[in-house]
Amino acid sequence: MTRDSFDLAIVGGGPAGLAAMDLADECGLSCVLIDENSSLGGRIFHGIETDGQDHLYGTDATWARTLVADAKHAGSILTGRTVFDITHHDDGPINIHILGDEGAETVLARRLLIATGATERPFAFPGWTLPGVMTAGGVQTLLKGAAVVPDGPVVLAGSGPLLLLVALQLKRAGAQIAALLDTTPAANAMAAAPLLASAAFSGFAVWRGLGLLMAIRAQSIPVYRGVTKLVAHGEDTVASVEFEHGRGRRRFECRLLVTHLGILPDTQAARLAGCRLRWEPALPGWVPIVDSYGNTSRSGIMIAGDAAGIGGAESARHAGRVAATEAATQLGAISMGERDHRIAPDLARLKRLGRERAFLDRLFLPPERLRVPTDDGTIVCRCEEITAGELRAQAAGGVCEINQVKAITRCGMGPCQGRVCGVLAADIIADAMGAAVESVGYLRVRPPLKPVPLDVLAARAEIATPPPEAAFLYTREG
Amino acid sequence: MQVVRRSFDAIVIGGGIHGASVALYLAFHGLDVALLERDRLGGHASGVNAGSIHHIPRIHLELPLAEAALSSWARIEQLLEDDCGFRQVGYLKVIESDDEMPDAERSMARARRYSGIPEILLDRQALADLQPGLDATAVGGIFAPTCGYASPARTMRALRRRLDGVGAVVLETSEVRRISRQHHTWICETGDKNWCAPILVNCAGAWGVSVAGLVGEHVELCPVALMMTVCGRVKPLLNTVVGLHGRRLSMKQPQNGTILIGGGYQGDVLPATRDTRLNGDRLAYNLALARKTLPALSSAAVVRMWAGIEGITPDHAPYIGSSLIHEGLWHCFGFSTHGFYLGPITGRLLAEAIVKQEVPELLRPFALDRGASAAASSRAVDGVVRENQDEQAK
Ligand SMILES: Cc1cc2nc3c(=O)[nH]c(=O)nc-3n(C[C@H](O)[C@H](O)[C@H](O)COP(=O)(O)OP(=O)(O)OC[C@H]3O[C@@H](n4cnc5c(N)ncnc54)[C@H](O)[C@@H]3O)c2cc1C
Ligand SMILES: Cc1cc2nc3c(=O)[nH]c(=O)nc-3n(C[C@H](O)[C@H](O)[C@H](O)COP(=O)(O)OP(=O)(O)OC[C@H]3O[C@@H](n4cnc5c(N)ncnc54)[C@H](O)[C@@H]3O)c2cc1C
Repeated sequence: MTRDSFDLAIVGGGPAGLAAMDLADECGLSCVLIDENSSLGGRIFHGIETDGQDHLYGTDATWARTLVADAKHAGSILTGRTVFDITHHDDGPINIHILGDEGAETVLARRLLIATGATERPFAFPGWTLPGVMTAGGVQTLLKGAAVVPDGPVVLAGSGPLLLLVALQLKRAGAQIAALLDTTPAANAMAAAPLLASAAFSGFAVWRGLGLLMAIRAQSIPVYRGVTKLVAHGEDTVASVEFEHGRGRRRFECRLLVTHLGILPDTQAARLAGCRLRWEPALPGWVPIVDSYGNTSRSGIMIAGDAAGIGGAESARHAGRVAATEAATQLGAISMGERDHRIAPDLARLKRLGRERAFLDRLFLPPERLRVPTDDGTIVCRCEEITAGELRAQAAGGVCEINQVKAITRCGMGPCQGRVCGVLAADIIADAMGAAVESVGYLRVRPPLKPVPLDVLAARAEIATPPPEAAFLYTREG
Repeated sequence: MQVVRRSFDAIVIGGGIHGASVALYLAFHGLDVALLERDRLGGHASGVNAGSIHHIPRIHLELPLAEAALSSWARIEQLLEDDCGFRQVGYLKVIESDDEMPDAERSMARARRYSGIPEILLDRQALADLQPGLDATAVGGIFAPTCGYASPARTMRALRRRLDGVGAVVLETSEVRRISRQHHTWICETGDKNWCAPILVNCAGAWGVSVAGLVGEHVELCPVALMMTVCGRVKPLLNTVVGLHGRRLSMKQPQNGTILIGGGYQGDVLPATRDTRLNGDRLAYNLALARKTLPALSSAAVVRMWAGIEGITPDHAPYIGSSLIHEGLWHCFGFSTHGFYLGPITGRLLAEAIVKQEVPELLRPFALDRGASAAASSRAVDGVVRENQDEQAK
């Protein structure tokens, strides 16, 4: 089924998408917002529409609720729908193929804003695929969405603000935390220090981060720093975690091991739509090429928020506003002068937030030794069960481009399309070849973005009447 | 710019299965060979196809070659030192209704007349025994036990290793942009390098006409994008490669449990940029046919869809043979949706033709000047004419 055509379609109902929706409406555009979650809010405000959970969102809850409420009045909201393909035919509208409970539908739009946020960087070590080992984001989704609190001892391991936040959220929800294993190298703090002054001056996140650390101390969560050589043990599910730190090897029993190594832009939709990416050494990782208004290398397709580069919720909100205003300008709804007037404060704020981000990026820069599992037996691709050793063997044989490695090993060919293992595999290959990660490239994405039941795709066909064939047009020149 | 000049006995343009095979066999004959590939070896049709290894009775020109091709796959491990994922699981064409029976019988008669490829006519019961779970309304099937499937990616890799092993020069990201001739030497230009040889073989697949055009030879070809779908792992459902007799469909289940669905349905293609686009309506039909044929597929999840670029000739048979206007130039392209399984055998025979200066019997039907008469007879065999449609199931 094909739905109405819109001026602007937004994928992602986080701060970026919500803010864009509101502004696009203000500029007179007809718009639709699509999110695979059943409610709005994105990652940070997942579950914000549910009452009684304000403690999970802190002081942000108020503005988040306003953002959601405003967006709801600004156009059509399609929650519970996953975008599984994006096609664009010449000068025609952009086709956004979505999957929901009622099957597949196609939304047509003149402009598309991809605001799909971030994903967590994979953290692979021996035992990471055991049941009971979860990422911080996954645990948080359970807390926010279903208010699930784990029973039994919990250990958290890794690096980054989200890990600290989840530790606190777990503690406040009543979980029993045995230890927080911080893998951030001591040298990071030194390297980040010069950036602190301008960062602290420009934003709140740094103060917030310090607040997190103090809160963790106040909750008397045992913290181990400079942790290396993590191993998760267990038969059917994780039972303990072993690691090294300054004073030798230690082991903790646990029922849940929460891991985190920072976040990266979710570029799946951007790659599917054919947008070009560039390597961002500060992450390090691939980010879509966007100009300061959110335009990508594909005309008509824009990206804002964490999907364009990690900036956090406040940045995402401003970037969403900027992109919506730009779309309105391109569609002739407002003038360029009006655009510049409207977005001047957003651009200024984005600039200051960027300085803060530089500090955080440097502070939590994941060292290569954490990004590359040393043990050859460690699984890299869960879908196809490909190990680090198998990838190293390819590198040793001279295969150094990630899509070739995929074709050979099937790493990244499973249902997740390399969403998890793509980054990991590139790090491993680059490390084994002694090459820069960016030279290894990134995985191509083929539709569907997420698995779609065959029934759904077949549903639109009439079995008795084949669709018209393409005519064969022979040429003599090619 | 310093132009580097290198000389060889033969240059092959195009690193698909045909270019790689003919280069390998030329090297076996002792020739010093260079293989020039614009993108990556196996980066186009040859690496992304459905991997079906079976004949197409409709194209009777091809049947004798098809028979030889099937034997060559049975021995692929001796040739490439890798089994290439070849599994001789047979090929089953399901007959959907009694109306199709006469045509099915004609098709079998054709296979018998032009080749010794064994085919068995199955009744309802035999069909259900051979492949449980099929649509209950199916009335029978044609089963060809010597057919099967192989892994295209793995085959291309094995070819690459063998080429390296015999010392052939394989150059990727080397597009031939200009071809000239001095005395009896062909000069192929790829950016800053000139590659020279007295023998030139055009194996450029869907771009075969462009390469032919570089030397002023004009043949007809239509570039198309063929679509494929893969479903995530499911329990074992398919014992053999399954297609339909009367409609286009092909399904197989490799050992990893995924299901590959194809049938030669077309997307859109921009040959110059090598961009392809999927066509949702035709894909939906392809999947609906798959589900009708094997209802258990209903619960499968589609995890990936793509299209590869192929060249189709007016009579749906490839161009294989010497140039009509130049000496020392050979063409081998336009495999019209069924060139993967013909790769190893064609490479062997074409290398023989080049070295001995005599085209073997099996390749003669594919000469560039086979002309309109051959094309017409190929299409009209037994009154079956299918315009714009290739019954072959992929
Ligand atoms: C797992 C995780 C947890 C995080 N938790 C916090 C936190 O607690 N506090 C904090 O400050 N920051 C957190 N962050 C950082 C967060 O990314 C930013 O703070 C902020 O949410 C970014 O906003 P956004 O609008 O760019 O994207 P998001 O808020 O991430 O919103 C993206 C939305 O797009 C939707 N989406 C993605 N793909 C599709 C698709 N194919 N079809 C349909 N919908 C799709 C998602 O469902 C999601 O709702 C988290 C990041 C991650 C990855
Ligand atoms: C989706 C799909 C499914 C298929 N399924 C089957 C199947 O099940 N069974 C079967 O038998 N067949 C199948 N086929 C057909 C089969 O894949 C092709 O017929 C076969 O691979 C053609 O091989 P080739 O070497 O001629 O062409 P290609 O593999 O296309 O190779 C030609 C090469 O030439 C290169 N090239 C072009 N121009 C130049 C230049 N100027 N300089 C240098 N290099 C150049 C190209 O980059 C390309 O790599 C399928 C095809 C597709 C697309």
